[in-house]
Amino acid sequence: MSPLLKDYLGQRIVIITTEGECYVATLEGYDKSVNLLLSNVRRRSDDELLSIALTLRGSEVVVCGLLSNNEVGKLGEEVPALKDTKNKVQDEYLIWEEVLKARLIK
Amino acid sequence: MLFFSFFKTLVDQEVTLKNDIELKGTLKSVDQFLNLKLDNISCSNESKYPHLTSVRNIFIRGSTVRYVYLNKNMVDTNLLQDAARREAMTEKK
Repeated sequence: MSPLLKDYLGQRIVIITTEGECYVATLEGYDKSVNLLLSNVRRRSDDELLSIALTLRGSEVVVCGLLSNNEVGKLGEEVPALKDTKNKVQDEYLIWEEVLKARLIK
Repeated sequence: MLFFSFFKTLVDQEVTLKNDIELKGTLKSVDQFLNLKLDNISCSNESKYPHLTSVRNIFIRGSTVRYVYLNKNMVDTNLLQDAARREAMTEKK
């Protein structure tokens, strides 16, 4: 088991997911693929309670940061949304449509 | 296994990482999945992404890392080449 997250157990952490969501939660447990068991999950921007307990799949996790001196995670004001980490091509189907058209003409 | 050992040699050096946020910090530890733990981080585009303000110590899942920027003088290329050869040899056996 990865010992890297051990120091964070029972502490408030900031989590960024591959979807670009940002949460603040208490880390209750984890496993070797970084699946996380969280409690008291709040949104980072407005501190709204999202869930009392939650498991987050490891493949969704980008970053866990330790909140210094357990301060409240609220950021206030407008926080720009994070990008996701998926590097999706916008309207990819249009590109393929063109490709297929070009092939049919040949 | 090579990169695991490689990162272990870089412990306590400063590295910069990039996902959509750019982070800079001191590498504290690394595990077999190349998950990284950084200390004393700073975010170079913090005004754009304030999500990590008041976070000093951070854990990054290895699978999401795109780049690790290194200083040239941090890396002994000869040693690394040697290690790569040795690794290739042991895999052949």
